[in-house]
Amino acid sequence: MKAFLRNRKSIIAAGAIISAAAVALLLPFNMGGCGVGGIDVGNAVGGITTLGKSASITEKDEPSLGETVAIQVTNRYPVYPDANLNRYVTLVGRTVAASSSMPGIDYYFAVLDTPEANAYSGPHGFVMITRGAVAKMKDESELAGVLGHEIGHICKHHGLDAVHSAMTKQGLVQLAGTSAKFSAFSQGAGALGDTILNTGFSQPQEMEADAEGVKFMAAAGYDPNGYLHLLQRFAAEQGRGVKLFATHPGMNDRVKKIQDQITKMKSTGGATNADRFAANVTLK
Amino acid sequence: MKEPSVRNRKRLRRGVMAAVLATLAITASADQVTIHKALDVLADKNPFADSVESVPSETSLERLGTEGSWVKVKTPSGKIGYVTSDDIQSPLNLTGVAANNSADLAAASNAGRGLNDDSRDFAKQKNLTLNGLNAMVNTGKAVSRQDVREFGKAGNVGPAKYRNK
Repeated sequence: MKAFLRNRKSIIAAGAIISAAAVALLLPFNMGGCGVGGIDVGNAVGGITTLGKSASITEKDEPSLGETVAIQVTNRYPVYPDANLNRYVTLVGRTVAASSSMPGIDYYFAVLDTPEANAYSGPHGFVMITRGAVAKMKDESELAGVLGHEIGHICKHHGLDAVHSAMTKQGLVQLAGTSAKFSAFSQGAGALGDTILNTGFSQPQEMEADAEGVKFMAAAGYDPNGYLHLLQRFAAEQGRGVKLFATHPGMNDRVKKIQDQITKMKSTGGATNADRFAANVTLK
Repeated sequence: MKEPSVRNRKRLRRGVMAAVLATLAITASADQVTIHKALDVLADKNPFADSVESVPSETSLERLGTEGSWVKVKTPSGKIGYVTSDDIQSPLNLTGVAANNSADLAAASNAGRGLNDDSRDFAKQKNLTLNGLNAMVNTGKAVSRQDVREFGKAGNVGPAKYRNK
């Protein structure tokens, strides 16, 4: 009888272990892409550690980082209260995103209420464009080009690179008990917001985003020349001292690179949808 | 230590098997998802992909896996395809959610996309409003993948392999 009870306990224990293991294996599969936290702060020495690229904020933190970018940008510039315009920009953006190298993530778009001409993106699908920028556009291909450029930053994980770069420059991160992981995340998110709103991405990153954007918009059937023509107009205005795309410098070099890329693509044009753009964009 | 008898070994095997089957049954049950609107189950993880089957509202689909915002499902007729995570969630109005409203924030966090714990805590720490983020999410949720597809068709834009079909 004792042996039977012992074995029955073994059976129950074995069953429990197997069930727990199976659930543990299956749970992450159903968690989707909304990982939270998980910041490995490396080896702490005397309560202080350095955050190297390999042991800090990773791709799984991108959904949260993207949200903090959207929060920071929209706290400086509120969302423009025009539901139809925001919807139209979302439709154009998602059309381009469907032809990007990351079509499977959720993309969210907004028009920002400022006359300044600029555009911003946060990791994992957050794209914002100012009404000042939209007002300078002539057709849908120009809008698709700018949104494609921002989607290019997302697909190339430039936001995450900016976090790593800022954390390396700042050097040490103070560890303070259980809040250490959030402290690292918060510093990274703040640095990323500063990069996106104030200093901008590096010139090579801007050019890489241009190349990706042109590729994505052309793959979506838009005329890549739309983006080229828009940047040519911006470059001319910048040359006259007009402050445009302040966080996107070096417009002349970028225009040249885009020209070369379109020539190599042997593009035969594409959609511009000027009528649809005019019907949806009434900004002056 | 005594060797377990053949009978007890059989019991152990039966116990293990029962536990495995019970776990699988729970998982299968948990992986049935019900959609609350009529929609097309798509052949690929792209809003422009072809439809493998149109299913009516309140259809129960078997969830086979999750890839980003796309959910791989099996329809009652056995067809396999993709829907989005938004398709299997009830719509939630996030307008006016404030950083210090814990109930709204918890609901927003559970809405699939819109607010992760770290970004909520970041906003609270910096005393930033979530109104802009919520406006973006609300706009995004109001634009369905069918809307994107129809928009693409109307303007002759979208991924080349699905265009002009």
